[in-house]
Amino acid sequence: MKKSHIVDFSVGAFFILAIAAFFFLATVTGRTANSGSEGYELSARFEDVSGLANNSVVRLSGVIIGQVEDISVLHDTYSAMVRFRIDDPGLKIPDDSTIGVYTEGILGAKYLAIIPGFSEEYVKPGQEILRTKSAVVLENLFSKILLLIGTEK
Amino acid sequence: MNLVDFNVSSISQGGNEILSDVQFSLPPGKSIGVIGPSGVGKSTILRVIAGFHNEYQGECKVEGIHVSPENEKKVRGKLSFLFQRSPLMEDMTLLENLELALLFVKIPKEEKKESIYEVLDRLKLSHAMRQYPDQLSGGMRRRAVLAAAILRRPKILLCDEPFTGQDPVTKDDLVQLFSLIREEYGFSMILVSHDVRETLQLCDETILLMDGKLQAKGDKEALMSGASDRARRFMELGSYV
Amino acid sequence: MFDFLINIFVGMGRFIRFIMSIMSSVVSPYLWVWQTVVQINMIGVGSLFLICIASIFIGLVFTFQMYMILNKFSGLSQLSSVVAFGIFRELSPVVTGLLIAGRVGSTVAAELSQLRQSEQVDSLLMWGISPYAYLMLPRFLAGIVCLPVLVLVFDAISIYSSWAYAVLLKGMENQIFWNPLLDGNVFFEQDVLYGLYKSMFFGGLIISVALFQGFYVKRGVSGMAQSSTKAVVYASLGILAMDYLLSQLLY
Repeated sequence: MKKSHIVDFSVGAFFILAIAAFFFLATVTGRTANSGSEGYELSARFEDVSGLANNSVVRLSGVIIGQVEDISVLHDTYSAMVRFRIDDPGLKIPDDSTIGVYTEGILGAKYLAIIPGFSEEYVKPGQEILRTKSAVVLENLFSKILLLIGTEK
Repeated sequence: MNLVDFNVSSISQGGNEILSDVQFSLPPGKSIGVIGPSGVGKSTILRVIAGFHNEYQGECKVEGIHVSPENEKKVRGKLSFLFQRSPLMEDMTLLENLELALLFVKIPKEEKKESIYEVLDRLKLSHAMRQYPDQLSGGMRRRAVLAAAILRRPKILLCDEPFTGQDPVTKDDLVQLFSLIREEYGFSMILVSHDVRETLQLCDETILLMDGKLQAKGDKEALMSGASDRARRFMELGSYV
Repeated sequence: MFDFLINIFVGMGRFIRFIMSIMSSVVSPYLWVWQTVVQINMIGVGSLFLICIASIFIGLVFTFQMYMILNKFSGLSQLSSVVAFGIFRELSPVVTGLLIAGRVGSTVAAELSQLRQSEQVDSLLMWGISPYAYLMLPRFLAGIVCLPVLVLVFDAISIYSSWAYAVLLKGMENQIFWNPLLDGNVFFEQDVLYGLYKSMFFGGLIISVALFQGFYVKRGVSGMAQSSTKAVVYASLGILAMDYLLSQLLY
């Protein structure tokens, strides 16, 4: 075989390997939705969003349907305003749905979960989901438990 | 018009002056030898002419063109450099190396092939053209370097100690082959060497450099008479090896 | 002291001019296209084995470490995403960069200084061939192309060796290992691609430093030795400093 063929062969194999690794990594890792281009934005306000961050995921029935875009504090009520994006424009959320901050496992990442309601009316893009459940902060939970134990004695 | 006019008052290297007041000119068809002990700056003269060394005062012209960074390409088109070391690319065969040397010469592909085969044939290298430089013997390597240098049929050949480091027989063969090639191709040359005998044999005029300046110029007698004691000793020791 | 500062500035200026000359030689593609392929073969394919072995061990040792720590906090369910996050973003580009600086940087610097000292560069100039286009640009491009590819390979292999440690050795559930990666803790577009972007810069840095040191080599064997040592040291330090800057920029 000519020397240049050997070079072509090994360089070709090198890049095929690269493409294979690329697709492998693309399939085993998560995806951020290409924000802005598709889907629509909703918001919700919470008492406490400890642990939630930009790009935290939004789930419905356990399936990832979007992610958090922005978290800010409202100046009047001091509650947290979370804007998040639903990736699928065809997915409509009933306006009596509940949204909450949940944790994966005990120490896992925080995510938003939507529990759909039964209304025939749907939340329009840009609107707010009104029924919310704040994050469960472990420290608060512990202190409550300790309090309970204290009163029982 | 002279092929090379060299009129330089001082050449320095890294801020230190190494040579002063060197003048010579190369008429068409002639050859000039530059001799002197190692490290005197002989090779630097060639590097000035080829535009590789800019630390000098005075002027240097090749066919009336000033050697300067702007004219580099024009000047180098007229010259060829026979290097002391091997300028051949180690990862290419001899043939590929010669093709590379002709890459920028604007002639048809067939002509390029022909002239490569001709030169290889003249230098008795045809059988080795598919070999890599490190597979060639010392003498063959020198011939290969010579092939790369004369391939473009230059008017002027700058030779930087082309036969140094060969055994006496190989060297003698090379010198003879070289004179033959020179007659055939008819180039003018400047030969830099510390071998007095070989230089006197090959050149029409010889320049003796020593102790940072030009000591004498001319044929053998002129060199012997015009030089200082030390230079005369260099000549005597060099001539009767 | 003052001289020292001036020397640094002059050196930096020369280095930048050098890189500009390399880039401007793109105009004669017939000189560099095939050479670039040859250099990809030297730099990329030649380093593949090294990267494979390194990535296996980095994957193992990092997983081992994280396993110990996460086990203490009963957070083992996040093992793979912690490992992947650390490897994809930092370890893989930096370790690949440092290894390549050692393997390729020294070779390129030695090659260039060899070509320079044995007058091959001058000979190319005599033939009217720009050494920037013929010798430097192919190596430079190959460095920029090869590093991300090697990083991809590093990522893929190290995550598999991490899997091997957790699942095969420690008996973790296969699904529990893979799920956190997919479930939106590690993002392909961010974590994997950021590593690739970084490594492109590292590749360019390694090769251009090596070329610069090789091209402006001092005379003699000690000059060659010096230039390849400097190429490795400067490139390695450059990678670490650049990594910090790029991490800040890309996060």
